[in-house]
Order: sequence, then structure tokens, then C-alpha cells
Amino acid sequence: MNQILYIFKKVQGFFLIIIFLSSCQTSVDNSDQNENAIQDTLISAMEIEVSEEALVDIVANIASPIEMAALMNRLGVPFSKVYLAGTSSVNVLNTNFQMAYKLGIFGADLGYLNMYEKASSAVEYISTIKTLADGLGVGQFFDYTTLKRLATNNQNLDSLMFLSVHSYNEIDSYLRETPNRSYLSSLMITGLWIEGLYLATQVASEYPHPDISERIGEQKIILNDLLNVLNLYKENQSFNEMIQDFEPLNVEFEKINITYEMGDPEIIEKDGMLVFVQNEKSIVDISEEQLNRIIEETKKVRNKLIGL
Amino acid sequence: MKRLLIIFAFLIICSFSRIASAQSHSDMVFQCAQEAGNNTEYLKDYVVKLPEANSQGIIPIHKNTAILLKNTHYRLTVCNSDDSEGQGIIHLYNNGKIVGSSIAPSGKIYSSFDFPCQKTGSYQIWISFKDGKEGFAVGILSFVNE
Repeated sequence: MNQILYIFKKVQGFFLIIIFLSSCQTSVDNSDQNENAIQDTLISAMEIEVSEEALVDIVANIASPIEMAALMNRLGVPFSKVYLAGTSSVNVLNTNFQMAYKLGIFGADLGYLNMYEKASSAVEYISTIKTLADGLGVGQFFDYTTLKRLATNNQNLDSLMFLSVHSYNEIDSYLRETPNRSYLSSLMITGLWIEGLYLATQVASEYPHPDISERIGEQKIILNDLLNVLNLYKENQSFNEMIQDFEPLNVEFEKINITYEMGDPEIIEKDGMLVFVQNEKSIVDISEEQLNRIIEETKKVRNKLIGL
Repeated sequence: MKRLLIIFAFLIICSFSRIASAQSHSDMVFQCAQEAGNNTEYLKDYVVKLPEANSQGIIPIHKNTAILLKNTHYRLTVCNSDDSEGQGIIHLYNNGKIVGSSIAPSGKIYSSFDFPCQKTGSYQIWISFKDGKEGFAVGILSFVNE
């Protein structure tokens, strides 16, 4: 009996140490979470009074790295891993602010990898995104297990693409609809957009093509909307700094001229499909010099965001 | 203690039903994205549940905005839930003008329509149900990978 009591006391001591250590760990984690929660509330409080509907309208589908990557693929531009952001910056301590835009940056990279069917390279990015999503408390929308399995087995790449995009849509919707967290959606969208633009500009400098130049030039419209969103939070120092970083890029985009040709749509019923032919066109006028300056400014903004 | 257990059980049931509902929506979205075609890439989904038109005949509409890019061939698809009373219809607008619809001029309703975009900009995607009936559907914005 004494022996049992002795073992119990030893075990009790062991558990007390474990509980003490884990409570210390928890207090550190809680402290980080509390700081991020305070940051959430403070930034949200700075938001200019704007209706939820207006914000949704502004940010919905603002960035489309998938369409950008599809254009590169369609033009026969070869894949290059050099363009992608390194995942090591995620290992250092990140604030909610940083995690949100990095979630966007790595999402764009994942889209690029998926479009070129580089499933094995995508595994690293899926793990990084999972870390960021968990850090922001949105890990439940990122089906890490299925995504990793699909990427590792290099199978069912259509599902891999679908699930990746769908997870991001779910995260975006959740953040936009959750009080005090819509600013994180704006940052994620910013990250997606800048990385998509960075990929396009890197391709444009190595493999010039008028379609890519035009796609870059028309980002003027999107940057304008994006800055409108970021300006909602400009009273916050981090947002203000980000807006300042985007300003030289915005100055270059402002020089680009976009004109429109008017025309009425035509409707065709062909092979069981209904097709609406748009005869109204947008025409982007971008010179080589303007393009080069945008390439340069995009690189500066994007590299600063990923800590290069 | 008993009350606490009831509250705890209620919370568990609520969270499970929420997860089940989200799962069911995701399945519908996945199936509809597949119905859009093998050569398409999914971009956005719109899960739409609308009541029937009110006594004044005003038909409820689910409205969304999307930025569409020039030289991209988009496909908009609508899939009705099995238990939906109404048939989903999807319309595309730009600057207040209709530029696409799943209803042909003949009146035939298609499950999807193609829109080869020639003008980059903000477009409005409206989803409603035929004759203002109550309905549940999923709309998918995808592009044709040419």
C-alpha cells in the first residue's frame, strides 16, 4: 500500500509539472491571441462607416490569380518555381495583419502551382497555408487532410484545384461576415492580388506578350477598388504603411489609359449551349516603359510584404 | 447540473447540424462545379435560398458582384436543389445592362450560359427563381480553360 502511495505521489508530481508547463504555454498562446483580438477590435473600430453590402461589393472576386495563371499556361509560358514566395517567413512570429496578407500571397502561389499541375510542390504551400489559417482561426475552412492527400498522390488534380479555391472562398466569406474580422479579408485579398500581379509581371519581363501586358494594365481597375478598401482602415498604422507602399505602384497605373468601344451583345444558341457575345470592348494602352516601371514597383511592394 | 448537460448537448447538436449543413452546401457546390463542364475551372459559388414572391409580386433576387477579365471565357451555371420548388435563373449585368442570361430569347431555360468577356470590369450576377417561386439553388462562376 505504501508503495502504491509512493508511486501515486511521484506520478502526481509529474502531472503537476506537466500541468504547470502546459499552463505556461497556454498563457503565452493566450497572450498572443489576446493581442491579436485587441488588434482585431481596434482596426475594426477604425473602419469608416460603410455598409456590409458595399464592402462585399468591393472585395468580391477582386483578385483572380487563377485566371492570371491560366492565361500564362494558355500562352505556353513555362512554369518557374523561382517566381514563388519562399515559405520560411511563416515560421517567424506573425501578427494577424501579416498572417492575413501572407495567406493571400501563398494562396496565389498555390493557384499557380495547381494551374501548372505541380502537385508535389504544392504540398509545401498547402502546409504553410494550413499554419496561417490555423493562426487566424480559420483552419476549419481549409481541408488540409484532403488537399495534402490529393497533392501527395498527384491524383484528381481537378479536385485539388476546386478544393483550394473553394477553401479560400469559404475563408473569405467567413472573415467578411464576422464582426471585427472583415479587415483580415481585405488583407487576404490584397495578398492574393499582389502575388498574382507579381507572377504576371515576372512572366512579362521574361516572356513578353501583348495579352499579358494588357492583363497587367487592366489591373488599374482592380487596384483602384483595392485601395478604396484599404483606405477604410488607413487610421491604423500598419494599413497606412501598406497604402503608402502601394502608392508608387498606383501612380504608375494611373498613367495607363483604358478606353471602351461600345456595342450591343449578340445571343447564339449553339450545340446546346447558350453563348452571349459581348461587342463592348475595353482597350488597354500600355507602353513598354510603363510596363517596366510597373514590373519594378510590383516587385518592391511584394518583396517588402514577404520580408525580402 | 442537469440543466448544464442539456445546454451542453444542445450546443453539440447545433454545432454538428451547422457542420452538416456546410458539408451539404459544399457537396452541392462541388457537384454543380462538375456540371459546369470538364474543361472549366471553378471560381466562385453562390448558395441561394429565396422565399416566394410577396403579395405585390416582387420577386426576391440574390445579387452579387464579380470582376470579370477581358479575353476570359466565363461560364455561369445554376443547379437546383432536389427539393427546390422554383427553377433557378441566372442573369449577368454590366453598368445596368443585361449582358447574359440563362433564359434564351425563345424562353427556354438553360442550366448555364457562356460569356466570352471582352471588357474588364465589375459585373453583377443575379440569381432568382422562375415565376417568383420559393427555391434553393447553387450558382457557379467558372471559366473555360481553352
